[in-house]
Amino acid sequence: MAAGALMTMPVLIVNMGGEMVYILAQRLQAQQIPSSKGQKVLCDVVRTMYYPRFIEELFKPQEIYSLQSTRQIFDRLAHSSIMRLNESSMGKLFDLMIMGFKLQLMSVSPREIIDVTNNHLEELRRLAGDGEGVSSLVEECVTQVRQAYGQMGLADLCNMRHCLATFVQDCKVKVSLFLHEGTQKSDGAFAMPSFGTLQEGALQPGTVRYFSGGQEVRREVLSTVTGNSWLPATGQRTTLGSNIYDKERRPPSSSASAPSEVQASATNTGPPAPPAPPPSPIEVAKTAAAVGELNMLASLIGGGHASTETFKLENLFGHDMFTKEGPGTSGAQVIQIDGAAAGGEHRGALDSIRDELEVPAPPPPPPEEGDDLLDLMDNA
Amino acid sequence: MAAASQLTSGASLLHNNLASSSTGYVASIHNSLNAGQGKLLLHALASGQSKDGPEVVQATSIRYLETLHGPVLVVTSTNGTQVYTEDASALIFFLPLSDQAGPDSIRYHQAACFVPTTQHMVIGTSKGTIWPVSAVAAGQYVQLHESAPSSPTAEVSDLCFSPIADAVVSVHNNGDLRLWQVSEDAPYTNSDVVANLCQAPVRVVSLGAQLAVADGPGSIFILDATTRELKAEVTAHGRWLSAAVSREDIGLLVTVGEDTVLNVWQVDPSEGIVSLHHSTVVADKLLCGVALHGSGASVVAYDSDQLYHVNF
Repeated sequence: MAAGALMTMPVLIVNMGGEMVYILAQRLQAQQIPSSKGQKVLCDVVRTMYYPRFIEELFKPQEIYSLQSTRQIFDRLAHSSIMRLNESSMGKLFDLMIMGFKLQLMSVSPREIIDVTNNHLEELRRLAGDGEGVSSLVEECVTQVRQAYGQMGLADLCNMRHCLATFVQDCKVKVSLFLHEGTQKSDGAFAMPSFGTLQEGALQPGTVRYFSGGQEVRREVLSTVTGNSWLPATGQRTTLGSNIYDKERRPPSSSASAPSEVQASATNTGPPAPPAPPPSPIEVAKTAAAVGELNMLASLIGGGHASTETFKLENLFGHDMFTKEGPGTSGAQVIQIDGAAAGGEHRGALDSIRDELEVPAPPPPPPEEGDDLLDLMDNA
Repeated sequence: MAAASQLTSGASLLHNNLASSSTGYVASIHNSLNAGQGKLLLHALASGQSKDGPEVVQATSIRYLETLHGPVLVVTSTNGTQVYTEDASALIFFLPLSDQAGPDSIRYHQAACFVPTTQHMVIGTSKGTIWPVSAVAAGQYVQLHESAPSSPTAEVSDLCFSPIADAVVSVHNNGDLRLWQVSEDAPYTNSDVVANLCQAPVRVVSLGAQLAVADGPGSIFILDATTRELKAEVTAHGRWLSAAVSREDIGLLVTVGEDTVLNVWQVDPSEGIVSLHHSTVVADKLLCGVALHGSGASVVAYDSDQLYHVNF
């Protein structure tokens, strides 16, 4: 566990946060929330997630958080907007985020995780638009990603991936989208392919090169079981991390979990970012007291943009979005997230949801004893 | 798909996350971010019985070493190194970390090998150093001198003993390969360095007159153990090469990768000529550990509690 193991949090939060925004965007649209409110939700969540001091703390070396602590961070992020989610919806949203990230993590090489992260950032910039300087906030995070991981060695990136894999290893929630694509099996585990695209510069598996005096003198190809199933690198970076919940913009094969070639992240992140806007006096006051401490991360999340107008989604995924599996399976719940839940039979419920404005935010859950990070989050 | 046995939990995604003893035990690591939930996974091949082993905290490697008084299970971690009896029922030695980490690094031990000539157990560290431990008698282990590399280097990723070179060989996270001259009672001397041999070494093994280094991006480098000259490079896997193990007496090198494939390579012990003995898809999983047994190999995978068995 080298430095890479201490740099897991930015990758975890950016990628899971990206999945959260994709899912929220899809559900807000499917449930016909007025576009102005939907856009405000996305904008507020993204702006909170990429608030400069939060990002600054996020990129400081630190050990990965527990699943429970990470869940509470995303609870705060999801409620940093005018939208309110009940406990059940929040739990299922978090499960979807985890499973989406787990599939990406398992499908890519250590260096491609940074490409996935950049894909999330680019898509968020598009989804949130440029209202209230959101684009420049995301751009600052792009710069931080380039600085933190652009020169990181492969072994460190591998250590980081191993830590992230430990984080998600016990999560096996079934998701209808992945089940239908065949990327997930009935036991909740993901199926990995024996074919795909090779990394940049890699030769066909089975290739043996012999050397003498430092020079290649002979080459042969031994016939491994899947050697012919691997295609040369195409020069395109992986599409994983883009929005698989947007049917119109969905990548050609979101289940193409085979890795594509590697490009140095430093070359993929576009021009240098403009400086982030200075924080408001209120934000400065909220953060100044805890500058330099690890648990600033959470307190910054709590410093969201207050709004008196909120709306509450009683069931983010609709009444039939969670179904039991058929006979012969374990009977565990399957999360269906395919945009089909906005059918007419749910209109009444959705209408009532849309009418639920002016609902005050629920009090945050009590902090777990001994968890300073979350204590501060509640105090912010 | 290969035949399989059930473990008590799933194997974590770690390099070389399966070890086997000469008498038929296999062991793997299940790490956890939750205190008290990380543990070793034990399985007896003869009886087919699986059980939980002791609790572990962020274990980094697992290996059975065949000492003169029988196999012992060596587990390295962010706490140091624990040496257990073969079935992990008793802790027989603990080597703690020698110092604390700075704010931007983590200290840990990584990998172990055995030197039969001196009966030393040698353990790698995140500082790039190695720690010999005298193991001359059962249960009587004595920590020797931490040995420093001859020049700055990165974390040790794996170790082996090369009888031909009569030296311990380490590979490091920056791709360095280093030779260490064995000493009975003084620090080992880092006598040679092959810098930047590869990108992210996963395993180094001795194969007669050769050394084989398995590299994460998917290649195996075959070097002359005496001159350290590169003799061959094998592109072994389409995705990350996650584990390797060898049978030095018959020149077999077995590798598994995240491409779901197990390959058995035959390496000529004197010339280093490579042929393919066996190749198969084990399971549609990220394979992360392989261990040899009498009729083939056992394999573990991330996201699975299965122990797969492949005969070849």
